[in-house]
Amino acid sequence: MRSSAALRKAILLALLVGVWEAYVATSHVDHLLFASPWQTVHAFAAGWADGSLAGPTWTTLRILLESFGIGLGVALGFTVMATLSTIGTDLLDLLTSVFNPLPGVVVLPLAMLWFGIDTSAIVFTVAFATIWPIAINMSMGFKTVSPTVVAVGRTIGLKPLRIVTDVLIPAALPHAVTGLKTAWAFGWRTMIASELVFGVAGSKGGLGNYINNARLYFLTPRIFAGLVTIALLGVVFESLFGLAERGTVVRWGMKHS
Amino acid sequence: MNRIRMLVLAAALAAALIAAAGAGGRASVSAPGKVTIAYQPGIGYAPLIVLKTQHTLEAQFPDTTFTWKVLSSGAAITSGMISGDIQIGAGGVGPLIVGWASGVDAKIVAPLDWGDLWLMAKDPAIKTIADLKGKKIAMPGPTSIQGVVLRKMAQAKLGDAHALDAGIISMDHPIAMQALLSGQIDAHLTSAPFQLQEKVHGAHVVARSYQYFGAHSFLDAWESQKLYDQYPQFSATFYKDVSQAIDLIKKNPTKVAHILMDDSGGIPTWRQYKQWLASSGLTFTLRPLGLMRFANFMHTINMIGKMPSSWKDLVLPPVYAQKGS
Repeated sequence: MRSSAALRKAILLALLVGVWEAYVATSHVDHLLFASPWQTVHAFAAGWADGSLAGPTWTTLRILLESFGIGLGVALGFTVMATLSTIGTDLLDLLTSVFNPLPGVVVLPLAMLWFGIDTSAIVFTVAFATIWPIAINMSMGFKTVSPTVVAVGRTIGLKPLRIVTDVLIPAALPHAVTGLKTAWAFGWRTMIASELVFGVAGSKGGLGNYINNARLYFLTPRIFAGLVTIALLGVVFESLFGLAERGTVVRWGMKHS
Repeated sequence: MNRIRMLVLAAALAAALIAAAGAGGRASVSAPGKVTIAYQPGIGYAPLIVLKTQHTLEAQFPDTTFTWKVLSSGAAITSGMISGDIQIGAGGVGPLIVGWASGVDAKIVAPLDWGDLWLMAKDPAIKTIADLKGKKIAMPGPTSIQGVVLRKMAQAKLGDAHALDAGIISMDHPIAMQALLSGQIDAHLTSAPFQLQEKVHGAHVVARSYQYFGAHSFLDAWESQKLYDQYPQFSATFYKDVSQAIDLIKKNPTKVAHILMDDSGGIPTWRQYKQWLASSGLTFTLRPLGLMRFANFMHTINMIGKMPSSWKDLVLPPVYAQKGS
């Protein structure tokens, strides 16, 4: 069943690429406006061969991981606080209802004022975008843990912190994984958007900057190659999260695949 | 209100005169139905601002709708020209040559000026190009004329044209000026009047583009070869209008200072504009100077993949008569 779905998708993908190639070949579209699949593949291969795509990709991933780590830490802090005290719950409710609806990239101008025109402004923006989905989902997970399980934990004499680490966190894992997945997707989008706005050039720039630079030099195939890189990375991370889910919550019977 | 009525009246009068002249035997010049003209912030665009505020083009081509736009970089303008949103763009020679080498259909229809571009810094510790290693340097973009000048400075003083690339921050000049004065960035490679304002507010000149390239063209108005071939008469008239605007700047800077003040909504004063026109390091002229020097340098550092065979590759026929380089 699974392999035939993959086959169907592969055929669809091939068809789409065919339409794309046919459009470029027949429409005489300006080569500065649109690149053909072949040009894109060529720019993609050349970019990875000479390292001009590897550098920006690594920069983007490094900044994203750093920001994600910070966001995860802060979110965990909030969630633990919310689980241990009523005031903490109220605080988290208030903060998430105010900040979660904000698209991550809107805090970038403020971050640029606070941190200067520096990578730390991007780290702040991306971390900010990841905190709230993680915090919301984790506290949701904690809240939906069966009270019986928590009561059992209390009865056998676990201290509040051990209840969090040994009872609540494992029980809340399906929600936590959802939170991490959402946060990663938010962070990834915010990261690329920030870089496009940011405009730091040269060797320190990431993929958003690579695309912007390609536009400035009218190297349209490179813009496409940058987009393909971003899409592929998205697919890779999506499947990594899928693997992680299958290895944990699905295997333990907490979530159906 | 009165002023607008006067302008409308003047425009109508001019249109009537032209119609009369046409009826008198001269063939009326053909022009596109819609023309969008885009330039950038700075007094180097003064000839275009004169044409805009005096409605010179509207009077000569009453059947054409003219739209004026101010964009933040030459790269944005060439992009607009590719997509067909902009018919006449204006900017520095950097994006023009980068575009030309990539096959963008944009050539100089009317040069505007030469200009000395200053690299400004506020921190007194930044005295030379070498002090800028690892610092943040703002300019409209990596392909802007300022971007080319910075590479030349880096090559001359640090031995590597790309030594300062990592510090380039893309910002338009008004924002970069604020950022420099508030200490958010370390340096700003800019043009008039921003370099003059920054100097007044405590920044100092680290280097000047004329020290590295000699006197050189700064801004030009561009249009596509396609548009030129279709409307040669329109393009020739535009060239002549720019020429007259340049004459006006030279002969009557007070009047032009008033025009610039009105265009910017009364701030700064015309006296300030007059002083800037006199001390800007700008020479308003139709003569293209040093285009090949720039192209050559950009080619040696791989900013462009092919070289124009002469400066005439970069300009349209109205400019051919100039003693260009």
